[in-house]
Parts: sequence; structure tokens; C-alpha cells
Amino acid sequence: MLPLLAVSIYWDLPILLVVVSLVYAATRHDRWDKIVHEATGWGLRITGFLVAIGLVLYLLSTYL
Amino acid sequence: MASPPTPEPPIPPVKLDPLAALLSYLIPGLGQVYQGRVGKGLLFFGGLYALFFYGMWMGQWRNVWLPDASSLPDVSVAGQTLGGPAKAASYRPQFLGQFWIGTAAWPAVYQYAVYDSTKDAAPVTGKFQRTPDEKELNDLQRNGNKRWDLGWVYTVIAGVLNLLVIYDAFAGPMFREPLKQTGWVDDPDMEDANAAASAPKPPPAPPPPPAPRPVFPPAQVPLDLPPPAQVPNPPGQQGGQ
Repeated sequence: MLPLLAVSIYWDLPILLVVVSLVYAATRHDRWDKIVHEATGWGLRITGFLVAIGLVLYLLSTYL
Repeated sequence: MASPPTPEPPIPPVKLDPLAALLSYLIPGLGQVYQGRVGKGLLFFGGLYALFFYGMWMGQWRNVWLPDASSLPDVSVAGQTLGGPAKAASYRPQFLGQFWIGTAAWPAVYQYAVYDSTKDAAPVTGKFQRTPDEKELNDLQRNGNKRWDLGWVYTVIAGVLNLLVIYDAFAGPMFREPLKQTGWVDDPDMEDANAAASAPKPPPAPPPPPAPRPVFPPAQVPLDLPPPAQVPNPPGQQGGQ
């Protein structure tokens, strides 16, 4: 298993991503289709940001 | 032939609901359930409580508290010495975010109110949300693989997110929809407004015929006026240029 995936603290992040995305989107809209659409967008953006940061830190700690 | 565009239902006006806001503070989503938005209320309830208690679980149920600061050094802000809960919150600012989760954080307030350093636990709530002693705090931070710290971050995020939920209950969502599509406001006035907007409008009345031009009688000019007097030219202008 990759060392990046073995770090257990990352496995606590999905619940944070899902809840923050859904709750924030639900405070902006009342229609479920818009809530799900916006929550999906926010979830993907936050996930991409965290993956990028994690990847940079992993590369720095491994090869620097 | 293109049909005329149908009128859009009106956007309901912002209707402030302090009672729903209070309910959503007490229990996340309760204000939305009270307003009839049951699905969203359950989403807020399940999501925020899951995040808050998951964070407490990550911190081994020892990361939400309001410390007794009576024996700690004074804290001054803008020349004012803080006291009571304000001083306690200055030593544990995380609680300012955790507090907004509502009743789930009230045991910490109760522990603060009945704190007795000579005892190990409070009468009713035991050690739940009680200030850990220094040795226990050091053990949690040293042996928790950073999950204890991440846990209180989750609880703070849950509390701050509930501020958005409270505002949603107080004034509705940021992007409001016509009542016909959501129905979150049980307001008979808005139903009347929607019915009036969606009802077929009568055809426009034909323009009124032009009003007849008034006929005025001709002015009566007296015919026996004397002829205008001959004004002689000034003497300097008689010779021309």
C-alpha cells in the first residue's frame, strides 16, 4: 500500500467533505436538484484542493 | 405563431422567522422542520450531529469544554479585563465555534457553571465535556496521532456550519425560488400572489376613441377700431447708412 494511503488521518476527511458540501449547498438552495448539483461541485473542488496539497506535501517529504 | 411568454411566479419576499432560528440553534434543522422543510431539516440534523459527534469521538470525547478560568491570569482586551465566561472563552476560543451547535454543547456550559476542582466529575453529566486536567490533556495530545486536534476542528466546523443553518431558518436560503417550486413558506398571502400571477389575464382593453376636438367660436373682432397711428421715424435714421 502506498504510504500516502496508509496514513490514517486522511480517512477521516470524507465525512468532513460530504457534510460541509451538502450543508453549505443546502443553505443556498431549497430545490434538491440544485442542492445536489452544487454540493457535488463543492465536493469535487475541495477534494481536488486537498489531493493537490497532500500530493505536494508527500512529494516534498519523500524526495526533498 | 409564437405563444406569449408565461409570467414567472413571483419570488416570495424575505420573511424573517426568529422562532425557527431559535429552534435551529437548539437542534440543527429543527427550525426547518418547523417551517415544513422536513428534508432539509433532517439533512442538517444528521449532517451536523454526525460531524460534531464524529469529531468528539476522534478526540476521545475530551475536546469540547469551557474551562474554569478563575485561577488563571487575567486577560485584557482593549483595556478591559475579562471575567466570567468571556475570560474562560479566551482560554478556550474553540468553544466560541462549538457553542453554536446548540444543546449538544450545553453540557460544557453546565460543567463550567458547577465546576469544583476538588471533585473529579459533575453531579449529572460526570466527565462529559468537563475540562481535562493537565496530565490527561498532555496524554491526549501526545498519544492521539493528531486525531485529537483534528477532532476539535471537526466540532468547530460543525458549530460554525450551524450558524448558516440558523440563518437559513431565519431568512430562507440565499437563492430563493418561487413558492410554486419549493413551498417552504406556508404563507397564504404568497399563495394568493402566485394564483394571481398564474391566472390568465384578460385581453387588453381596446384604446378609447379619440376625443372630438373642441370647437371654439371665432373671436369677435370689433370692426370699428380706429386705424393704428403712424409713428414717425427717428431723425437719425432717415438718411440710411
